[in-house]
Amino acid sequence: MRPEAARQLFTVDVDAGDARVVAAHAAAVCQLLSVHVSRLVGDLGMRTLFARSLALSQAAFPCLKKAAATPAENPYDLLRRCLEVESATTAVGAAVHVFETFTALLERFIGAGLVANLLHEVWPAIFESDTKETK
Amino acid sequence: MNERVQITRLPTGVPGLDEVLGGGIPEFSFNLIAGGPGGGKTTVAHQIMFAAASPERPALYVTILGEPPLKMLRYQQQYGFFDGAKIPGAIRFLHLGTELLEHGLDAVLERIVSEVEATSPKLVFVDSFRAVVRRSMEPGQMGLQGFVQRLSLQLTGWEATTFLIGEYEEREAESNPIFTVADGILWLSQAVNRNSMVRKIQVVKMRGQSTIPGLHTVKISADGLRVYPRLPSPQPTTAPPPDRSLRRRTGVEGLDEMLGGGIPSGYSVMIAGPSGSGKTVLATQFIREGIRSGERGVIALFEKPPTEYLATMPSAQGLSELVGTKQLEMLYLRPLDLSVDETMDEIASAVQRVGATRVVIDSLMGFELALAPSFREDFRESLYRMVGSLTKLGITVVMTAELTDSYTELRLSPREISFLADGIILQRYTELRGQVRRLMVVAKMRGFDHSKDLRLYDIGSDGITVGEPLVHYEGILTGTAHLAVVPK
Repeated sequence: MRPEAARQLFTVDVDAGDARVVAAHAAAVCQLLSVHVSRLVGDLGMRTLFARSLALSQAAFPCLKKAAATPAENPYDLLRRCLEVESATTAVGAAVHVFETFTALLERFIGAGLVANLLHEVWPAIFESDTKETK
Repeated sequence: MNERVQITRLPTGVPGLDEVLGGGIPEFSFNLIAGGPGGGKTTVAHQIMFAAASPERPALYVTILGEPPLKMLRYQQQYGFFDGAKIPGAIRFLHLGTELLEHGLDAVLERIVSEVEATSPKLVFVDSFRAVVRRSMEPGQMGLQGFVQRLSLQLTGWEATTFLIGEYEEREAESNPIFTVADGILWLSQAVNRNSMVRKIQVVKMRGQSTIPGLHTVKISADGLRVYPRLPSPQPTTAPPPDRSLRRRTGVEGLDEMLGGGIPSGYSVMIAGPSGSGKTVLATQFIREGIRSGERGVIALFEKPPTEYLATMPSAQGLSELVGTKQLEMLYLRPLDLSVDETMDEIASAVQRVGATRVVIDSLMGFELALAPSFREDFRESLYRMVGSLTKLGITVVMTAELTDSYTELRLSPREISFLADGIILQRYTELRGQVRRLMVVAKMRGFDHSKDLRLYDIGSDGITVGEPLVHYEGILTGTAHLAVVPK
């Protein structure tokens, strides 16, 4: 369910075929996500998990190596710069992979229910909330 | 102008805590949850938040520095009270660690205030406030007193009930301005004594409320915290109020006559005797007789689990059926870090469940051993409170106590606890006509006449059978009886 939703989240402008549009959109999506996740787990927690997601996604998308190598910079800007030199299809694939990896990591720490509620809060039209109790 | 303001009290969701607090947390109060590490501060804060928060009464949980929020959420989810469905609708989190580190206390206060003004939370938690205290000591920072005053005013003005959570030492209570400003202070602590650990909570202060003073035991389980009030308030029971003219028969023919018709209602009796003298047999007979006459009973076991007790004790035959029909409840209280309050709560709950009028505690020595070492020091006081809380509800309590026979003195109980029981039935061994025989005497029945006879008894498949008084013998309590010389 979530991979399709994530792809939907990142492919809004893919028809334009311009990787720069895709990359800018991906960075904006991640930036928006970070605002909400940081509230819950703190800036440092957000950045740490995002950096780990970039590192884990490098095997599938080597283009992300540059983003992971410079942790001091804004990681979402780095992601944008990595993606904008790729094809639009690759950029979308890499962004979806990072997003999926990140949410899976977050789920491992705080549970699928909380993550579902969080994503629903940010993008209610795309992600469903977890209506049952999280135990 | 006699109309006083009514203070609404919020239920904490922590079993036992509302009773200790005098009804709950006063709405709009400014509270401190303090104590050393590992006492359960963050857990109790979350438990209160999940119980009280709703879409109509939203909560804001502000984390600053301390336990990373990623871990805090991970661990707190393990408790039964954690309800993820309340996040983010009724509960919102806000992490301000970066604000504190990079911009200081002004930025933290500004963010909290702007968040409160934007979302109007009715419950605000700041965890850990200790980080704020440390930062306030740095040069150029807003003083702690100013920060606390502004925070308190702001949050109270926005009708928020506030909880500051932090690690403090008791000696700080005199000088720290938070302790002065706070309307309520909950102090959590844990003490390690030998191989056991006991958590406690104290309501140091709660303005406008009558709290239960003292240290109350806290247990943390998968359901969260549970507080065992030190002096539990009387609970309603199906038992009639104590009417000591009402006698509860033991079912041992002869013994009831010795007792003056049975054991009075709302009375406590200790059966003291050496190993194998039949203390448990007599206590079981007392329970069985009650159930036979339509009463209900509770047996609190401290030495053997019920399965073993039922399987190995000849006198326990048939009791499992009584358990099955809910006429009897058997409790096994054996963990070695029990508190008296916890024991009382377990027994009182069982009494309520079955509507018991008879309770057996088997045995007092087992009870003492099951207590955490720190509670053993107060064993007599604790036993006094426990027995008192049961008897005042009209329950008749029978306790067994192991007592090594002494043939040079007349001891009525071990550890000088005989004064705690209203009555004492003493069992002993004696040598008589080349045999070791058992004998019993009613040594004490506070406020009532009773037989002073020493009587032999036997234990058979039907329980105890009391024989004739040993009126023609002397020296029985020395262990070697001989025929009395009757003056002509």
